Amino acid sequence: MDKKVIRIVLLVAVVAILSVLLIDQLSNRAGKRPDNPFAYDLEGFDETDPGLLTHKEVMQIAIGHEQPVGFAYGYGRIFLITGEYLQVISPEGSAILKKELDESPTAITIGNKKQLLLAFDNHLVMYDLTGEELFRSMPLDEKAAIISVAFAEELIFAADAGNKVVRVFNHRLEELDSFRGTSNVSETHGFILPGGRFTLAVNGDDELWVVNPGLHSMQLYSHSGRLRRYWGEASFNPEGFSGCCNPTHFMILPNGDFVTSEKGLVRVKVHHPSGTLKGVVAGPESFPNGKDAPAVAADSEGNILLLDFEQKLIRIFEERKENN
Amino acid sequence: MATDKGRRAFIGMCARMTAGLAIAGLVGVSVKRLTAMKWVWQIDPFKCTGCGRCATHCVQNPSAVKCVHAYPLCGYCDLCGGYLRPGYINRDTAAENQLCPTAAIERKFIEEPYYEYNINEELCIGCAKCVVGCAAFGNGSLHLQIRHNLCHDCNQCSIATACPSEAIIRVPAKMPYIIKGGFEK
Ligand code: SF4
Ligand code: SF4
Ligand code: SF4
Repeated sequence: MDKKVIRIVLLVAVVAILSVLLIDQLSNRAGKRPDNPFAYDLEGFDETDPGLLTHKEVMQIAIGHEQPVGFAYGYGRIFLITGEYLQVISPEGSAILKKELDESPTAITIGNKKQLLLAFDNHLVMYDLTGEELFRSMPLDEKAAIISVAFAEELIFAADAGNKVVRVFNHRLEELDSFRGTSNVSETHGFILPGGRFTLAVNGDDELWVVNPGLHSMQLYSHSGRLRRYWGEASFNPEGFSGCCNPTHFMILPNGDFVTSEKGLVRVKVHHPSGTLKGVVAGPESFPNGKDAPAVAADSEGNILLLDFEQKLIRIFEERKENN
Repeated sequence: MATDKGRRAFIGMCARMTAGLAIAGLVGVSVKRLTAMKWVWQIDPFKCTGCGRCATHCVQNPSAVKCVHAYPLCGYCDLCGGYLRPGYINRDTAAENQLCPTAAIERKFIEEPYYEYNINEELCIGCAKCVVGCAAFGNGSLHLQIRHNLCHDCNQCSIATACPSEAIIRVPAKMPYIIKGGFEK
């Protein structure tokens, strides 16, 4: 071949290679982006002190591509609600039931008489464990947005984030009362919900605890809505609750300990009944790039179950042996 | 008869032509209106991931991108994730407690436990640090917008070219902002 032609071919090849390298250098693809000089830096809060870790992750259950909404554990099963379905899953992860619902559920809990309670924005429906409907509440007003429900011995409590009230029902789902957490004799301000997060739970002593997220406070109410006690502080340190909508989820263990879950600086912690920190179940390092707080539940063996909304996983954490 | 038929055909043809012309006219006017519609660049706050490039890639210095505050969404929180840096010492206005690199966010006490946050646009460089903090810890009421009193409306917005989230889009000049839930006080 003519030397001139070879030279031209080589020149074209060199130009092509250089262009590809230049385009790659300038490209926007992940891994090629220059560091952000204004990056939000969690400044050491994204790593948990290993001495605080009380649990370790032992299992994950993938829950498919549907968007999870909430879950509960009871009678040896996991009850999961997704966009349109109620699903029952064994602790090993096998599907037991998948029931299509007429509407999108917003919250779930289990009663100790084999009842399953689902919230749907402005009403509640009670089922048996096979998904057969037992009772249905009257529809609430248009603003209602029930996002957390809990059984007490005689009552049912529902956190209505739309109206910023706790609603009280009997076990036949007849509404009896509601309260706003306000008081004219103390320093309470009612429920402050900056991000629409609002969770409640009832402990083994039939006591109602409600998160007041704007005050980073766990508040104990009488069944008639009188504030009796509270604990909690705002802090990025593990002892407190960070951000302005935390804790986003919580549950109460049979021994009275609180399991709390925070968004933003995503972490799940255990607090003694008094509120002092007991330890960290899963710190921010367990949720790389995570922003949303996982929902929390516990199985009969004391393992903590987390519903990871972003990864669409149920993650099971077992207590570390060295804690026992 | 023949003349009558001819006249009817002629009138019919005229009617069809008039209708045709009217439709063509309407289509023409609509096409003209559409093509004459002015478009401007804007940030879709629901796509923005707060990468920081709005501060560094605008042809304007400081950037034409500013933080705006959707007051109806804001929780007026004391511990504001967009105002306080994670390692804050006190929840107050001291410089060492502020997240914003230019102290462009003003914190004002309203009543216990509420605080209002206002953006001083002269100081804001559009870096999105507060936007990321607010989205992670709060409800995302702080977000970025291209301010049209500052933007040159470049033919090709240089931030749009660099934006990794394809968040910079063209919007009609008549509706030049995409505000999360309104931002009037
Ligand atoms: S470049 Fe895009 S993603 Fe980055 S801050 Fe600007 S709009 Fe947001
Ligand atoms: S943190 Fe950045 S975007 Fe937010 S107000 Fe300050 S300069 Fe503006
Ligand atoms: S159009 Fe030009 S001036 Fe306006 S934001 Fe983009 S780069 Fe800046």
